[in-house]
Amino acid sequence: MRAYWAIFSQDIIMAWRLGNTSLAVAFLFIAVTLLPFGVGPELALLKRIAPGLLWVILILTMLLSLDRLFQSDLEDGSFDQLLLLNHAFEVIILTKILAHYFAIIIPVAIFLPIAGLMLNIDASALPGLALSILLAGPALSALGAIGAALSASVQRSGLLTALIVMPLYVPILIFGASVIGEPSSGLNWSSLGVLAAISLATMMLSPFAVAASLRGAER
Amino acid sequence: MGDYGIYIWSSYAVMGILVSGLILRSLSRYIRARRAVDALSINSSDDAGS
Amino acid sequence: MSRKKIDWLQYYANPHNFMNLAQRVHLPLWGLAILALAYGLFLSFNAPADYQQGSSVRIMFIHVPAAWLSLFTYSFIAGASLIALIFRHPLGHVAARAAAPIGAIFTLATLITGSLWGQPIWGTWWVWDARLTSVLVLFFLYLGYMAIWRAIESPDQAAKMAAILALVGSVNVPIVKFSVDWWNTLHQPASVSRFARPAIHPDILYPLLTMGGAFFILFFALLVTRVQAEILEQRLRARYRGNLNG
Repeated sequence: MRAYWAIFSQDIIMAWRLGNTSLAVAFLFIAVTLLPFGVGPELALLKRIAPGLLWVILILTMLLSLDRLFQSDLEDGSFDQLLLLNHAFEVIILTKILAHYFAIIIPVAIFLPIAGLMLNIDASALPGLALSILLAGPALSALGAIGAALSASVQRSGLLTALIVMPLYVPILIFGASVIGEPSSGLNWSSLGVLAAISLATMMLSPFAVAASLRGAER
Repeated sequence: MGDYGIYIWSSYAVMGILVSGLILRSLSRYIRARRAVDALSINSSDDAGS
Repeated sequence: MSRKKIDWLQYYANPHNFMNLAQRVHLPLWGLAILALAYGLFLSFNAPADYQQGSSVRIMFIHVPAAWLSLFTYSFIAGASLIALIFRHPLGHVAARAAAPIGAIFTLATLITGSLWGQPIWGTWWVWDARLTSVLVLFFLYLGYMAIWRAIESPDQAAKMAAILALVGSVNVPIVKFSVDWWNTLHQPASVSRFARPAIHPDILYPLLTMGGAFFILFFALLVTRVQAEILEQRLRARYRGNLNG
């Protein structure tokens, strides 16, 4: 148990030290800043597109930050050692996925609503927005891990990872954006339920796909 | 109803270009490989072990 | 009964045996494909104009078969990858890799011909309904699958990764279809005008099925060609490596 905690905390610290967390949050605000230059600063328009747009920015942020997920571990041979441990490799993977969730998703979930305010989003929609990200987060990390693992052995694999993960993210984006899509009718609880279900399912299943890929990458 | 001619024509043209491109690339790759293998007269039992 | 099937699979796992079969069916397959395509095209051009959509229904004769093939090819890739992973069948990976560009081209053709058909009928080049959107996502799946093969240097590793992606993607295809469908009902209460599909008249059905069959035969002709090319290239690489090692 202590081993898992060590991996978990180590991953979070590394994500912070390597700048992955800062990169994700910074990209958030960069994207939000660029938007009005593109579509114009008209507040009514921004308010209408803000919920869906924030979700798209979240997805893009994830796509950007994913390729680093396993690369450093693969390069310095950590996976070789982890494979030798008594613990199931799949559970280690799950630990890493959870670490990604805490290191990247949760900070983004905190800052995304602030970015939303810059887009004149309805303040009442903020809790729903944060909740949707928190509930969908495990799925984003789990599916992103699959993409990262598949391209782990490739140098500068950012585009490949994004290409692989993008089809997997489409359903999550649809349900995530629909949580606060209708500003007048409050939260879409059924979408939240679907997000939670997807998160549970992917957390259970993706470690197997990830482990299989990483074992293949070891050779 | 409008003139559909251009749309029909361009649909078939696009399909023709895509499919014939694929066919040409596949066949030429095959022919080139076949010629190289024959030229080197590689015994076909070489790959029985793979 | 099942043992017979697995023996057959194992028999053709040997590339030598497969090549023998391939060489025998190769020319007949292509001949059949060309004949079927020619006949299908002949039927398509002579089909009567549809009362609802005029002569643009002719686009359907290539658009729908392309869509059928794009979905079939992905199932083929997923199935071949599964067999390759479970039974460690070497040709499974080869077949899946060979089929991918075929599927991608058919998917691209589906998208483009769909656009060209949609513009005169719906007045728009693109519409985000469930079918179009999920086909677009399928296209990206094909691109990702082909990209993995190209990106990873070791062929064995690439094969395994690609197979995993194929299987993960095959779970995702129905999910995307379902969620985009729901998305449409969530976000587009003003119904997208899908053209109604009345019972298909035999005058239309017959060319459609013929073209479908022709595309199907074409798929196998292309597949046999590409798999043979891949096996031959493997031999060349092996010989090259052998020469390098003295």
